[in-house]
Amino acid sequence: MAGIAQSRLAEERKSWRKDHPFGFIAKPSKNPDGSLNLFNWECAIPGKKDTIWEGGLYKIRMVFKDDFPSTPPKCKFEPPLFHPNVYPSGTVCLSLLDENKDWKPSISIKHLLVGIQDLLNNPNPEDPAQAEAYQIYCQNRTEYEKRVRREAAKYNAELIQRQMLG
Amino acid sequence: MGIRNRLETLLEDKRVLVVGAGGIGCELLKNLVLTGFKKIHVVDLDTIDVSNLNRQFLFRREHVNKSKAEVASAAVQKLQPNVNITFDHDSIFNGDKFGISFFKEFNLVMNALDNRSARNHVNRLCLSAGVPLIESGSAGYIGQVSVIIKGQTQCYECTSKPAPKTYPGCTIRNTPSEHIHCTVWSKHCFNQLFGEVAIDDDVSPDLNDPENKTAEEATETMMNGNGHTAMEEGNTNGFHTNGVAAEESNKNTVVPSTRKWAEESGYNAKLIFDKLFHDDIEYLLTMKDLWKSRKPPTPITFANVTDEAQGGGSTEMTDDVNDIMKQWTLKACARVFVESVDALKTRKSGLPEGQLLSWDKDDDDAMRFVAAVANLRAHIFSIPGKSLFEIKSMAGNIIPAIATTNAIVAGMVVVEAIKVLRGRKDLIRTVYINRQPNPRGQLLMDDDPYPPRKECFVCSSDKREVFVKVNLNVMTLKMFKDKVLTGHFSVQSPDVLVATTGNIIISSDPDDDFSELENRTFQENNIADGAVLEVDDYLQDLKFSAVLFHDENQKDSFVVEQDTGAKPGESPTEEEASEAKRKRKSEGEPSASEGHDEESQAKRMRIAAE
Repeated sequence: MAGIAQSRLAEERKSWRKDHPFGFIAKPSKNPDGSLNLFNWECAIPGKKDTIWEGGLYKIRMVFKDDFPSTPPKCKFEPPLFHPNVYPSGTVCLSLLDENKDWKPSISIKHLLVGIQDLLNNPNPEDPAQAEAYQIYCQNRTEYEKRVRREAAKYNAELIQRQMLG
Repeated sequence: MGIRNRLETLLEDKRVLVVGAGGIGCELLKNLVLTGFKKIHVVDLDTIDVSNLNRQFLFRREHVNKSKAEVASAAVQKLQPNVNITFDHDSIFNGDKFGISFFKEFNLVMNALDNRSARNHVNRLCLSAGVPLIESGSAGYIGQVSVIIKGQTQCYECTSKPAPKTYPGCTIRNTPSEHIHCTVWSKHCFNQLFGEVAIDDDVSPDLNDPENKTAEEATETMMNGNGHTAMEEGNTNGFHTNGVAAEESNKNTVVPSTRKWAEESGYNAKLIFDKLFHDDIEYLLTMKDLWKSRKPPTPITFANVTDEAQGGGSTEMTDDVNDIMKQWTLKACARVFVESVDALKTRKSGLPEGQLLSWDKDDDDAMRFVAAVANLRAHIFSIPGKSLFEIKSMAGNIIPAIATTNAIVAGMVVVEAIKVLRGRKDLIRTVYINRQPNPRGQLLMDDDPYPPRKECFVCSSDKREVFVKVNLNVMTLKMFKDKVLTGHFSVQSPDVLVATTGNIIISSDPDDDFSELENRTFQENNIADGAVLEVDDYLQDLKFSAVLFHDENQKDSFVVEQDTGAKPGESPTEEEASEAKRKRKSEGEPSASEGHDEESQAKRMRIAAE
């Protein structure tokens, strides 16, 4: 099945290079020998304008399995992000990324990244993944917003962009 | 409704692209506007040269150095003021402008090109965009027009074209037997001294000549013999010695020694002369096996050539170095050699650091250098010399262009174009223009278009595979990219991944840094015999698999084996057999003197000229 995954990922790379939403980054990661690994992508999602996430660029790794696109990739913020639907490991909890829920093989990398961007400002309290962000979000919205703004400052878009694109 | 009206209705909303505004392009543009085409776009990167004016009749003397696309558009606009003609003075390889979406804007594309890599490129873009293409070419009196429609007719790359003539390295370096060998060598010599040094283009004796069984012995002779000279030279000039260079090249090491040597000598023309035409030839003579059944070369030195009144006896030759129609005497060659080396040296030293000269037949110093060097070498090997004019046509691969042939070709392009636009694909013909009428009295021959080749690596729908033999221990990814993918397969912006690992090893994304990986060999990158590489051209949207095979006999060269579709054990079809025969024939003949077998060649190959 590796053949299907591979050609689909090569196509994903191509279509991303041709056209992608402004401010986002997505590219296969570098192997130790200098080649690029199609099954492991380094991506970054900008916080939406006019939200508390604005100004930040959040690094996220996408790991694909051999049976992609039958199964969704694993998406993991690196480092883990302060957000109710992000596990302490950094892994994103989203129905779109769940084989048993909304995942469909036709969903593109672009689609996923935009979906996760959307999740940033619209956390789903029904499906919490980390205690800290979830509790603060439910109990003290002012404190939550302060914490998020701190994340946005920490992952300043310009800084991260320079880190990732060299 | 008369034919005028019907044409008008048909062509009213059809948009066509003409690629190339040269010999065929000018004729074609004129035909198109006079036929009633209304929306035409033309692309050409070239500017008008004086030598174009005899046949590219849309251009006048005052247009020299202006854009061909621009002047041609303006000229045909005058013929038909109501035509909407637009142009780009740009290379069709510019992917930002001329991508697949650009091609999709047209109902039909017509090629009027003069080179194979651009034809390959447009062929692929049209296939990817699903736009019909009319391909045409002429060479002297012969010409051809064919229609390429995906899935219906053969694409430009369904048949392999005869490779541009190359000669075995040892023929060029050790045992030239025809003047063209000396001409090729002298172009290499130019690059070794002033241009970009290619590993294949070494001009020193090749010790690995399979004919030279006594190689080791000879090396020893050279070491001993030249060790002496080397010391002397070492003392006086600090030169690198021949002995060292030869020893290293014997070990297959890349030694761009000629350049270094020349630089350290301060491009002293007389010293270079004696090295090229005396010392290296003396050395060749020590490879005795080479001369058992051949006439051995005669070394010459600058001093004895200029002293003796060489070649003065023959009235065929001239001492006038400005006479380009007559063969120069040896003395005159030596003079041109010194003058051109001095001129090129000055020009090279005037360039910014790291920049080099590049050979061009229209560069007077470069052409005179090549003509002189080729004739000096020819003399050494007892090969009759030639005039600068003759050498120019060989060295520049000039194919005669005949206005009448271009006019006929362009006419037939329009005939086929109208069939395509009418949707009458059943009427499409491939047209050949013969050198002379065939026994049935036809100067123009037409034939059913060939169907697509099922195994074509460009247009087939399922099986796109090529087999490449390389030396995995020698070939680096960069060499593979430049020589095999771009050089042979005309891939412009390759992305390559290894099928088994999914690792991308060559990227067309300028943001990716592959410098480290690229300079390592396949073996160093753990890519082994039998590896399958998935090649994808970002711009052309062309995808195929390249299967690598290790071949110890290749150095930095390669062999491509395309699937001919014949099953093992099956005898080759008539088509293939005659193709192979023709190939063998062409291998035995210099490219510049083609024209013996043109009629039969014309049927098989699409021609490389305008």
